[in-house]
Amino acid sequence: MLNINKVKEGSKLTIAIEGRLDTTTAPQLENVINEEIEGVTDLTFDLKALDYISSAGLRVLLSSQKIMNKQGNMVVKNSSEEVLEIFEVTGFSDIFTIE
Amino acid sequence: MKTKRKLGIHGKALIGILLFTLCMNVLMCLSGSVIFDKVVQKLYNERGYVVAHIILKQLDHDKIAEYTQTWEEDEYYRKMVEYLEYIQEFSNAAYIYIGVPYEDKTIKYVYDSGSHIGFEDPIAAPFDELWTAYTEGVRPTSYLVRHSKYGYLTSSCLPVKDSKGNVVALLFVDTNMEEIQTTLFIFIRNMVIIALLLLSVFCLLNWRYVSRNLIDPIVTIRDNINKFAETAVFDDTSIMQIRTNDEMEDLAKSISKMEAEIVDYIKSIQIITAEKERISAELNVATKIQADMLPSIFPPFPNRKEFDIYATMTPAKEVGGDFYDFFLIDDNHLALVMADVAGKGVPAALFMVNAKTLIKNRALMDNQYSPAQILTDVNNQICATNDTGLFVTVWLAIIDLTTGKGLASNAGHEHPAIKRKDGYYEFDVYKHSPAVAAMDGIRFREHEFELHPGDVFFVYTDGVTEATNAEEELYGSDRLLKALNSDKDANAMQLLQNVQADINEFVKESPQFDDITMLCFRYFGLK
Repeated sequence: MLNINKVKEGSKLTIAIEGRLDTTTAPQLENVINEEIEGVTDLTFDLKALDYISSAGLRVLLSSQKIMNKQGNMVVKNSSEEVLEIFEVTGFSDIFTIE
Repeated sequence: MKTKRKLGIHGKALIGILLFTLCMNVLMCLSGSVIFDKVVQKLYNERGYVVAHIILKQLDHDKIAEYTQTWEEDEYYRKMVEYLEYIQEFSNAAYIYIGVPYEDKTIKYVYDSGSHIGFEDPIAAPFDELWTAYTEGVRPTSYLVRHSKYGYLTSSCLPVKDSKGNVVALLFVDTNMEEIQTTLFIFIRNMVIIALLLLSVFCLLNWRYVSRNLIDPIVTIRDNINKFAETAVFDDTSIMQIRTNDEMEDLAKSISKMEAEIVDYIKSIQIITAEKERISAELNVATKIQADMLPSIFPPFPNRKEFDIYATMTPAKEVGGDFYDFFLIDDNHLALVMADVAGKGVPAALFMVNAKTLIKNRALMDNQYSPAQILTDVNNQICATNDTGLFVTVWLAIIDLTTGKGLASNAGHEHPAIKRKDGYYEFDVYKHSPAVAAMDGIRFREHEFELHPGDVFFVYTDGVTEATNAEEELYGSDRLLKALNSDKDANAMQLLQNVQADINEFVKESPQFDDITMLCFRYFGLK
């Protein structure tokens, strides 16, 4: 189960993710990002309600990061302890800007 | 396929039409004869009343009143008889009589053409009506039709009133209706014959119409569909000949369109199935090739007594993204790899082949024995052409087998579990580098470690800790440690079997979502 809420103000895009981001749900997020990311200079992922992220989910965040490296900034915020630990273990805390 | 059927659609339609025709016939005849009968009865009865009125006008009512008292004939009586006989002869009436009804349902005749004055007879006509006519001086409402010993008669009955207005007797003119029965019979016979003829013609026409416009097309469609169901070939064009210009024709057109579409559909399914079979066969080969890429002969280095190594990979789908590897860089240095490509299926498998080859080739290239340098170089090489966004978490260690010292680099992979000689398995937790291929130009960290004889470590992929049971619970790292420590001194192969058995026990019948890969290394040192 995954809920994606997006708020777009000009070139600012905020995507709030709820539930589990795994192999089955990651393509949903990938579609949303592919549709919305053009022209975005500030991308924020709000992970307050994210329970779990698998490597497939990390891949989606990583590809967003790669796109945003070219056109602006990306921030990951409100991560729970568990998700933060996954970022630490997988080394993604070195790549993402985590607030 | 032919089951015995009593009647086909033809038979049912024919019986339906015949039954309908017969019912119509019977109804027509019944209603016709009833109407005819009523009309004729009325006519006969009215004619009787005309005669009765004429008679009543001519008779002396007071004399009749007198006869009802005396019951004696006289001069006037004889004249009256003569007159009434004359009227009867010319009016074609069956009987003319004058009488007084009594409450015991008999009638006493003042005059009767068939008997004599004073004769008593039971009343055959409906008594109540006669009694009402007698007591209230009114004409009966019905035609008093009856079958009696005198024949099939209708009576026209009028009250005879004396000069004071009292009803003294009833005058009857009976008309014979035997004739009407014969006429009615002829009427019914003629009607039945005509109706039967007409209805037969209708029946025939209707049958032909229904047959041509409904039944024949349905039978054609039925045959066509049967044939199609058996052969699945669209070659019977009989259905296209249906030209009823109504819904039946639409149906036939729809069916033939549907059949053509089914034939096309079957063709494309056959093509797709063949394609799927081909892909499936190729995937099987790919799985075999992938399995062959992982070292699978144990013990791999039978001459080396310094260590024991065992590893397994159980793929979730046909081909997966997990891999392990171990190889000697030179006589003293052993490289160990445990890795997991993000994603599944063919893309992950291809990525895995590339990553595995690059890591091994790079590790064998020089004698720096630096996992961080190896991963940095591999990362840059993959990132130069990586558009898919796939990445691979890698744990890479290089051990000097003579000293037990080594360097390890963890690129986003799971925490390894280590057991010192007389201790228990516990996780070796430290900050990891990002996964390989995650981003261009990443610097990978490495750290030193030292193994003493009797030490063991266990590395694995997230397929172990994230094995899920029917209640959506994860196997988790606590269960893993418990399973490892349940028989902590087991040899490498036994240890992996213990963990696998514990995972199987946990997930039970739930499907395996991710590859499960494990490697155990036991260091004995130089003895």
